[in-house]
Amino acid sequence: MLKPKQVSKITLFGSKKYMKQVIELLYESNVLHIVDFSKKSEEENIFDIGEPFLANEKYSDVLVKLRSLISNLQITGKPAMIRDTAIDSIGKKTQLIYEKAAELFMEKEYYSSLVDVYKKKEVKKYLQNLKLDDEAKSSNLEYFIGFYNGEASKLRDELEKLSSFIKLGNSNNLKIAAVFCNQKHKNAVSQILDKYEFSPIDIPVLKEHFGKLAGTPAQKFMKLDYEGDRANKELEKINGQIKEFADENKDFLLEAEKKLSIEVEKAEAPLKFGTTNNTFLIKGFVPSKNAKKLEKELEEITDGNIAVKIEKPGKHEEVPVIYNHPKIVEPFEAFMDLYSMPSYKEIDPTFFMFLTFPIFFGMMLGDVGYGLITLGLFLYLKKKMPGAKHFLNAFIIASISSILFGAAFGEYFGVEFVPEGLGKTLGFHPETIEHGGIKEVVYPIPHIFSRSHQIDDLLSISILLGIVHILIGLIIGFINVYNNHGFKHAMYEKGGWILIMPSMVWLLLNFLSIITGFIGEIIKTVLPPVPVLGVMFIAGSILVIKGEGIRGFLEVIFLSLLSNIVSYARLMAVGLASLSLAVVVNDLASDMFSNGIVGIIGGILILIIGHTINLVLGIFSPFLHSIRLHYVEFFTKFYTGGGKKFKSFGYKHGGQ
Amino acid sequence: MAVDVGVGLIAVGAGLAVGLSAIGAGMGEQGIGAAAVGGMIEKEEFFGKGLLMTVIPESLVIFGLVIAILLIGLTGSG
Repeated sequence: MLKPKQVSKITLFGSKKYMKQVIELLYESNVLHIVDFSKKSEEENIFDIGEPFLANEKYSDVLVKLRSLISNLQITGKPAMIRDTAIDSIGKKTQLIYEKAAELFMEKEYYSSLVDVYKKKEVKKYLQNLKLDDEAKSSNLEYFIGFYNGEASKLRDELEKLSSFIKLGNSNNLKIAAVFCNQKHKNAVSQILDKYEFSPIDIPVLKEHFGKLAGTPAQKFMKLDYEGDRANKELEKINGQIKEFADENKDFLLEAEKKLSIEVEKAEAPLKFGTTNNTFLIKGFVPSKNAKKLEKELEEITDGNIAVKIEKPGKHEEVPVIYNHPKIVEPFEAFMDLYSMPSYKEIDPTFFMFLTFPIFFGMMLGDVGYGLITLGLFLYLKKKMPGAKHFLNAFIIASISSILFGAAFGEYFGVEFVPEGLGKTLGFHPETIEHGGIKEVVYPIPHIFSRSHQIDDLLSISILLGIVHILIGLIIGFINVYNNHGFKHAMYEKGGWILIMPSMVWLLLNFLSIITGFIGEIIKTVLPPVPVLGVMFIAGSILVIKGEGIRGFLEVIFLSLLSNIVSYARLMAVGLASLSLAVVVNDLASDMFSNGIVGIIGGILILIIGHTINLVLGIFSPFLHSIRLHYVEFFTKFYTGGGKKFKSFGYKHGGQ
Repeated sequence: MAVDVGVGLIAVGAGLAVGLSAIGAGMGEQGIGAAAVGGMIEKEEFFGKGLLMTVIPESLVIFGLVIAILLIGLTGSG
């Protein structure tokens, strides 16, 4: 649980004759993490990176088509199952679907550009006003219609001699020119227009219309509105057809895509191998418990024509990591991934996160009402977004912890007291509190600990949690360094800090007096006397400075450990802030309730808005602060991270 | 309620401790936050480390708060 799953290094060396079978087997068993082949040592120089199977190219072609179909037809989801269909028939069917889809999309393209043309109101209006005179109606007419840039009068001057009909318009900053001329002037006119950066409105439909225009009156364009409607309707029809087509082929496409992805992955696998003319070499990692079985299977399938070497990973090797946790701890892996995966050699702190994250979160949110709402919210979100399952599970655990802490604090939506009548009937014990010199009798909801009245104790508890948390971090760090570099280094790097710790606690207790009350009394009994503390501090400092040099020296004199501990005061601060806000909202609302019907409505509004805001803050800030305490204060004591995820070669179930 | 000047000054001091440290932390975080978001856009895995960097100045507020609590402790009322 505190270490990633044990994996073994595996090296396979065999005859190329069996490569295909071996790949099939590896893919089927889905336990091998292949390390890309690279020439690291002298003896590896005889190998070259393998080449993908020839079939790969064909598969890739079909796969590209399938993927473009899936994205263009906007198909989502996962294949229901993967049947054993022949790849050739998949290819043929894909080709058919592809051609049909291409036709549909071409038609769609045509009609949507048509709609676009009609949508260009400027063009439309302008075209409607075109009136051609008799000469323009002659049949050998050339037309230029499009946008230009430059001075209209100059353009007109230049064109006048060549053209029988010039219309220059301007609307919405777009300069439009329609120039009709005799065919023999075509080149001259086009040269002039080029000077004015003429760009024709180049839509096939438009062209078609103008083709017809030669010899017929421009009034035809009056029909444009009608044409626009028609194009729109056609477009809708096509869209409907595409959707229908997508639904029809959805299952096939998804299944075929998955199937071919698998085939391509298999065909490309040799790219990760080292090969010679007749042999292949695969290096990788396999979970230790699967190693023996894999070896046996490999030998069976190749009739013993394969050399399998299974060994313990070397000390400085980059070993892929598989988390190894019971189900309840799993959600917190998401928080680890957010930071950095643990490396293979160190203790995996996910379990500690599972223990402390909910405590910190609960202590800060700490309200039965809020906890219930967040619990409901996260349960609902979990249903809506199965992708974020892990995250939400972690928050569900944190919400339950908030409810428990809320019950311990006796807080329900910031309400800590009930009115006298209700208090008496429920048999609550009255308490006298002093508030600005006025004594008041209140009926608090039963609780173990009152956050609002035991601020000092709450602070002490927060700091105590911090001391414990950091101490755990240092001890894990000690074990990590001890395992990897031996006792001496562990003493230098972490032992020194552990020795310094008690003096920091003494400072907090006696000098800063942040730790007070009953917590203070408890700590006083376990803390060694001052001379011992002094010796421990000096010894610890020497170790740290020796181990970490100038950085260690700076950290010691600036009391970085102390500031880390004090940082846990946020456990109290964030919680109190959220409680105060809730109390303010409640007070505001209860004042309004005495003002008749308007007051009651206003009061309810204030309650809803106020508590919603507080709840949003109450989810974000405990999360951020809690995770920060782990990342900054806890992890910096021991964590290196940087591990790589174990990615097995094989069919990815579920998720991906 | 009548409060003598000394207590009032302590209260002002406590307020300043929290307020000024919060301003300081905010000024510190603005640059780091912007850079961290930039980093996250480039590389999503940066989130954890970005968050870590961003919240480092935030300890200042906690220190301010602790000072404030210690100051209020001087007034003799909780």
